[in-house]
Amino acid sequence: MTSPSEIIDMDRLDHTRCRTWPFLQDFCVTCGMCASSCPASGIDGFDPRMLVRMASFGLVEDLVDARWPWICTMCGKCENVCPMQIEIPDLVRNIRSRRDREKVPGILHKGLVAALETGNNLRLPKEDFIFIIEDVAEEVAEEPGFEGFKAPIDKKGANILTTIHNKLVNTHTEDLKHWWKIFHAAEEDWTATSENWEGTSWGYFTGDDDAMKVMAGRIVEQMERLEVNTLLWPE
Amino acid sequence: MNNTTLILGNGPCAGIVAENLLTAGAKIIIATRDDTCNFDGSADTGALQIMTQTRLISCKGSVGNFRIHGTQKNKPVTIDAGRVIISEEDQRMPNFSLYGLNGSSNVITLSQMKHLLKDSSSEKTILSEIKKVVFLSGLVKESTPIIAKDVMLFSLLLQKDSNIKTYILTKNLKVAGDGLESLYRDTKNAGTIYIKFTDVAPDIHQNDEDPVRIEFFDEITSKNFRLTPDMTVVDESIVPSEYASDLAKIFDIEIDLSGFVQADNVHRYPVLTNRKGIMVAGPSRSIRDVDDQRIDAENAALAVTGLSGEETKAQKAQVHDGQCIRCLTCYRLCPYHAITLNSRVVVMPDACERCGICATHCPRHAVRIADLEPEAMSALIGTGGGIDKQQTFVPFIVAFCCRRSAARARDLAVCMGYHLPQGLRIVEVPCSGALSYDHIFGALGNNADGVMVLTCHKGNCHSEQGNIYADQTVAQIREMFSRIGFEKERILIQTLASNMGAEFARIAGRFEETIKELGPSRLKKIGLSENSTPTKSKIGKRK
Repeated sequence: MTSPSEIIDMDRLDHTRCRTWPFLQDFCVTCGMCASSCPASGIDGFDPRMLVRMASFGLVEDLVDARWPWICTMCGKCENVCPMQIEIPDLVRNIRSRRDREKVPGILHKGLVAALETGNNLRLPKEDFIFIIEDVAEEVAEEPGFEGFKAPIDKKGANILTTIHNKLVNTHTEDLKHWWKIFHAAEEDWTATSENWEGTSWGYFTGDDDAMKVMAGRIVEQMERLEVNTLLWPE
Repeated sequence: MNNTTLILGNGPCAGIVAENLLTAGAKIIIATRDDTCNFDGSADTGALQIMTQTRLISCKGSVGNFRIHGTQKNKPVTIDAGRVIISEEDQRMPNFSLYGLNGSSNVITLSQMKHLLKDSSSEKTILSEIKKVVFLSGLVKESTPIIAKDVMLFSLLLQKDSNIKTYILTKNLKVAGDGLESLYRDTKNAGTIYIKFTDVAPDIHQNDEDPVRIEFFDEITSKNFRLTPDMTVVDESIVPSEYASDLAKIFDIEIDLSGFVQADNVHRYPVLTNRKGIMVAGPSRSIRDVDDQRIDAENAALAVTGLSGEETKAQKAQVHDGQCIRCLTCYRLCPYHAITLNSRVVVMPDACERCGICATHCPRHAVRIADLEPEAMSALIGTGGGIDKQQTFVPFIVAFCCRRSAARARDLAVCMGYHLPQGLRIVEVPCSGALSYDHIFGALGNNADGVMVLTCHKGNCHSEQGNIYADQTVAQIREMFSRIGFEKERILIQTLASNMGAEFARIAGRFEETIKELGPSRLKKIGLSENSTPTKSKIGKRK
């Protein structure tokens, strides 16, 4: 990565390196609308305009090494306001995908590795998962109007399969109840799976398409196994 | 009346003017300094005369009857024409010095690049040895869309046809022209890299024939870069040709801040100048692209055909021989060059625009415009104001309004339903420059409690300086009033544009309040009003 004071010889840069990227970064008119709309702009020097500019100059290594493409939250505001329709979030993701996986920021990298190895970002064993679900279901059943409530895990032929965000079985178990109460009131025929129940897919954030394919494929497998036609993926 | 139109110029614009006029059945003379005329007029024999190697020296007369002296092939020549259209080409000056550069084999101008890119160019092979080209555009002095278009077009050609990497270093890229944004996109698509500078400038180093070294801080990436292009192309400034500037002097036409013929006067239609019968079109008038030039040329042709047979019943300035002492004040002040000197001073009625500046400033009251004379206007003013039913004082306010601005602002105020003072009387004048002491004293003598002079904004006067003269007149009267112990607040001068209806109402309302506080004018009490004719010296006006 170049230091700020170093003079970069433009003659040695290949501006065509990123020309095959399909994000129109070369159309940037440097108006700065992206930077002014970005909620993360300015955090640790993050600036979407700079990112677009560096891509069109061909400074790919600098971009890949920089910390700030990882500050972007992929909210897409920049893309929304860009007068030249440059797909900035996709550009950010593309840059992230070029980083050595071992250098992907800690929590994202560890979580994704855990999900690929164990089916969820927390490495939560199947028995513990079932225990938590049943325990929360018992709490729901104690509330008036929900007598006899049970969480139907691995129910074959249900109408809906719902994925679960790992934080709902970790720190936010209360939030599970809201979903379930709605299902109950609507008399919905639903189920969740005891394996590969994870709904989050951090490959999206790290630019790892292969990981995303694996995570999505597992959910499809579960739908086939339980013969469910409709997926609820509340992410 | 001479119906021939003299066209000056040898470029496309002059050609379009000629074409249009010939189509309209007009007789034309094309005069060019060049050895040959680019206009092919072989089809029209009777209506067209072409004069090459011709340079003008002087011009006399007015619309319909210009007598122009000049030289043709270094021999004196006289041209008689009813109208003149100036459409000389502009010229391009390289901006080397702005960037601290000298022209060399690898530092060239935009025009030189244009020449290199021509298929017929014998030097085109130079381009095959070049890999990188930098264009410097508008970095020190603001550029124009015409130059920006050339920069982008040449950059595109280099990228696409010669596979040369191009950089455009620019401040504001001027894309306000037809197709320029699309051209910009095309250059980006082809791979041109733009470096835009806002607060910083690039360091440009040149050492003889070495490649130019350009170092800069990129404001967007916050990184320092260096460029060493094989060729640096410097932009150009478009300036009026020296001959066009000479023509402005010969015809006594106002010029704008950049020296182009024809001032930026909002009250004049495009292509018209301060002199009736003399039009200016295309590159003599301002920096204009091809389409603008065509529009100008067509407008100029229309203006010529529109002027033919024009008749006006309005009274023009007249010089009364017995009183004229040939002091040349009128000649000097006439913004329209409508006064000519032969054995005596004569106003050329076709050229006179009735601004009245000559009449107001003539120390002998020898130049007059009958219906603008103070007596004639006093009769129009009549009387007004007084005491209303509630026994309160209603001031009689006379407002002298320029017909191009304040009078229109007043119409707008009425249209918009603004309340205007009850005792307000509007007196429309062709130009506030027509107002003398006598007009203002005449109003006060007619029982006015207050007088407003409402003029165009500074720099917006159709007669160039009329509003400034009015300002001076009012300032002198106010000063005189304060010296003699009369309320100077009874006279007000303000500038307005025709779209300022609300402001008109506000100014009039505030002035009425001022006058109400002052009460009725004391000039009424001392009985000046008994004599409805204004005070006027028998000899003439003292001014």
